[in-house]
Amino acid sequence: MAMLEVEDLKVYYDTAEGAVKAVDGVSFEIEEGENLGIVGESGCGKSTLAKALIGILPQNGYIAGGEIRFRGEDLTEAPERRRRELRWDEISMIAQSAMNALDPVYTIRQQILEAIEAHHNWSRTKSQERIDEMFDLVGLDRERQTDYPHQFSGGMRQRAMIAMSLVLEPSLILADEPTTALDVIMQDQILKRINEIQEASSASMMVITHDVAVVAETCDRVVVMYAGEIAEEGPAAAIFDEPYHPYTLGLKSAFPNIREADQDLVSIGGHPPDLHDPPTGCRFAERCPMATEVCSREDPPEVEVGGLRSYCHHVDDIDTQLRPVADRAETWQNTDAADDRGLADD
Amino acid sequence: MTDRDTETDVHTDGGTETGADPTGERADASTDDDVLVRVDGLKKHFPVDSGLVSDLMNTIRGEDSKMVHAVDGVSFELRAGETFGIAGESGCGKTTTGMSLAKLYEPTDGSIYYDGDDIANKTGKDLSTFRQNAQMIFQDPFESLNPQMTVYDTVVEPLRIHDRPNQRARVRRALEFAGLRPPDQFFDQYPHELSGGQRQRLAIARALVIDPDFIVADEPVSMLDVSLRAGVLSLLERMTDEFGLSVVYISHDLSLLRHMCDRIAIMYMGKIVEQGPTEEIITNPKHPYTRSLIDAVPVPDPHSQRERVELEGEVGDAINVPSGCRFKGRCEEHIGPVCDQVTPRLERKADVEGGREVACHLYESAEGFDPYAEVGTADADADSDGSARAPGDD
Repeated sequence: MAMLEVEDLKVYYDTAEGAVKAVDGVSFEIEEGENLGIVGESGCGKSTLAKALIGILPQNGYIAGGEIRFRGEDLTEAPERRRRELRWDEISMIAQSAMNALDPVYTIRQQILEAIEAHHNWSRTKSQERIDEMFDLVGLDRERQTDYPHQFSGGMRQRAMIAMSLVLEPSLILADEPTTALDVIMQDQILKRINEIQEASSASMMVITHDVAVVAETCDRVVVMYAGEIAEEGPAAAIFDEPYHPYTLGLKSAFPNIREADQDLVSIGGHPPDLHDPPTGCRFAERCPMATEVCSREDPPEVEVGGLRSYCHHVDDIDTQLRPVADRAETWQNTDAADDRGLADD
Repeated sequence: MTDRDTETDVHTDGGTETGADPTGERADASTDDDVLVRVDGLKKHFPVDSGLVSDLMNTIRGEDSKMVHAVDGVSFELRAGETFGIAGESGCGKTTTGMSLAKLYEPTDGSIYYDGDDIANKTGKDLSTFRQNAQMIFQDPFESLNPQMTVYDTVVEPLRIHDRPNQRARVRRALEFAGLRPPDQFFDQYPHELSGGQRQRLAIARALVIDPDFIVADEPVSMLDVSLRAGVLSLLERMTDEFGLSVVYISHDLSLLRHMCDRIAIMYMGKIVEQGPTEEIITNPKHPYTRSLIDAVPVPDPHSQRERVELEGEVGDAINVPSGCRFKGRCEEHIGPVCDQVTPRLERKADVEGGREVACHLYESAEGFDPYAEVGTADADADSDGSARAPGDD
C-alpha cells in the first residue's frame, strides 16, 4: 500500500458565479520515501491539491468527492481534531511565500517551539536540541533563532520554513513552489538542501511548481496537471525524455534551457478554460495543435504508454505529428499567437 | 533641436501603420554613432537612516549618514536596436541601474548620456522628449497598472501628457501590436478583468504607444506562467526587430537572457563583473561569480548531472562595502592580497579572447593596469573606488 493514495479527488470553491472546479477528479499515489513533482500553470489546481491534502482549504473550499487515504485512513472523512493531529506531525508544508507564512511578531524560535508544543510534550532541552539540529541541517546560524522574520533575507526565511516543516519528522512534506520567490543562487542553495534532506530522511515529498527544471532536479516521478485534471503522469525521466501528452510537450518546449543555444521558445496560444464550467471532452483541446473533433466531444481515455499514464485521444499519432515539430514556436500558435504572426506579415 | 528629434517625429508620423518599418531611416542616422545610451561611472547611493532623529544624532556625533551603495560605478553602452541584458542576484543593483536609465532616479555620481547629452541636464522640452523616448516595463503587472483606469485610459495617458494627435488610432495600433485584439473590445475593460499575460501586454502597449527609442524591461515575465512567457518575450523581440527599439532587459534568469539578449552584463554588489556578447559569456564564463551564477541555473533534464559550484552565503554588506574585490568573500579562486586590497577594473583582458570585459585579477589586463603595483596602498585604492566620498557631494 502506498503511503498516500488520492482517488478521484474533487475540490471545489463556492463563488458567487457557482462552483469553481479547481481539482476535478485527480488520482495518484505517493510511495514511502518517494519524491513526487506536481507541475502545471497557475490555476491548474496544484496548490489547491496541496491545501486539500494538509486540510487547510479556505472557507469557501470543500472536498466535493473522492478520497485521500493516508496510510489507509481516509482523511476526507476524518474530523478536524484528527486532521490537526496529523498536520505538521505527519504531513507538513513548505509554503511559497515564507514572508507571509511566518508570523511577524514572534521570533523564529518561538514559532518552531509552538509547532512542537502543539504535538508533543518534549522537554525544553529536547525541543531546543531539535531546533538546533534543524538549523544546522538547513544551514542557518543557530544564533539567529531569536531573530524575527523581518531580520531574515528571503532565502533565510525559506530555510526557516524548511526547518519548521521538518522539525517533527513528518512522513510527507508538501513543498508548494519552495523556490519561486528566490533568485537563482538562493534557489540553488535551497534545492541542494532539499536534495540532502531527501537523502537523509525517509520522508516522502511532494514538490509543487511551475518550474519544470526544479522538478527535473528533485523528483522521481511527475504529475502534469492541466485545468484541474491530470494530463500525464510517470517517472521523471520518461516525462522529460518522451512525453506523450501534447501539453507536456508544449510545457517542456516553453521552458528555456540555459544549456541550449538558439532555442525557439514556444508560447501555447490561448488560455486555460473557465473552471466554473469546464468544456466537455479534453480540457486542453482548445489550445492543442493535435486536437480533432473527438477531443472536444469525449473525455480522453487513460492510456499506458512508454511507462507513462497519459490522458489523450491521439497518443498513437504524437510521434509522427507533434513530436518532430513540438519545439517550433509556430506549432503552438494556433489561437491568438497566430494572429500575432498574421499582423506582423501585413 | 537635434537630428534625432526630427527623426523621431518622422518615425512617429510614418509609423501610424503597423508594420511600417522605420529601421531604414534609423539605420542611416545611426551609422556614424550607433550608441543610443552611454552610462559612465553611474553611482546611486541611498541613505539608510535619513529620518529627522537620525540626522540630528549624526550631526551631534559628527558622523555622515550611512549609505547603501546600490549601484557603485557602472559603465556600459546601449546600442541602437540591440537587447542588452543585466543579470545578478537580488540586491545587486540591476533594478536601480534600470530605473536610473529611465531617469526615475537621479544618479549620485556619474552620467547617463542619451543621444550624446547628459540626461541630468535635460529640462523643459528636452526632458519631455527624453521621457517619451525612455519607457519602462515593470515586473508586476498587478501593481504597475492603475486599477481605476480602463485599458484605453491607461494607454492614452502618455499621449495626452505629451499632447500627441490621433490618439485613438495610436491606442488601437499599440493594443493590436501587443496582441490585445480586437482592441476596441478591450477599451473599456479594467486591469482586474484581464489575465496576468494580458496585463503585461497592456503594460507593453502603454510603453510602446509613444514610440520610444528604448525600453527598460525589469523582469517583465517573471510573474507570468511559463506557457505565456514566450508570447510576451516574442513581443519584446518584435519591438527590436520591427521598430528598431533598444531594450535593456533586467533579470536574474540567465536562461531567458541567453534567449533574448545580444550582450549581457553580470552585476555583483553594484558593479559589473563581466560584460560582453551573451553567447561568449554563457558558454564560457570567465569571472568566478558569473560561473557560479550560470552553474546555479537548474536544468530541465533529469539526466543532466549539473555541476554545482558551492556558492554559500549571501551578497555582502552594501553599506560598509569591502575593499578590493567585492566577491572575495565567496570566491573560490581567491588569489591573495591583491583580491583583498585592489578593486578589479572592468577591462579587456590579454588572456581572454572575444569582445568581453572582465573585472577579475585572475586575468591579465590588456590595458596595462597592474593591480599588484597597488597592493599595500589600500588608501589609494579607496580613493579610486570612490567609496570614501562624502555623501554630501551630490
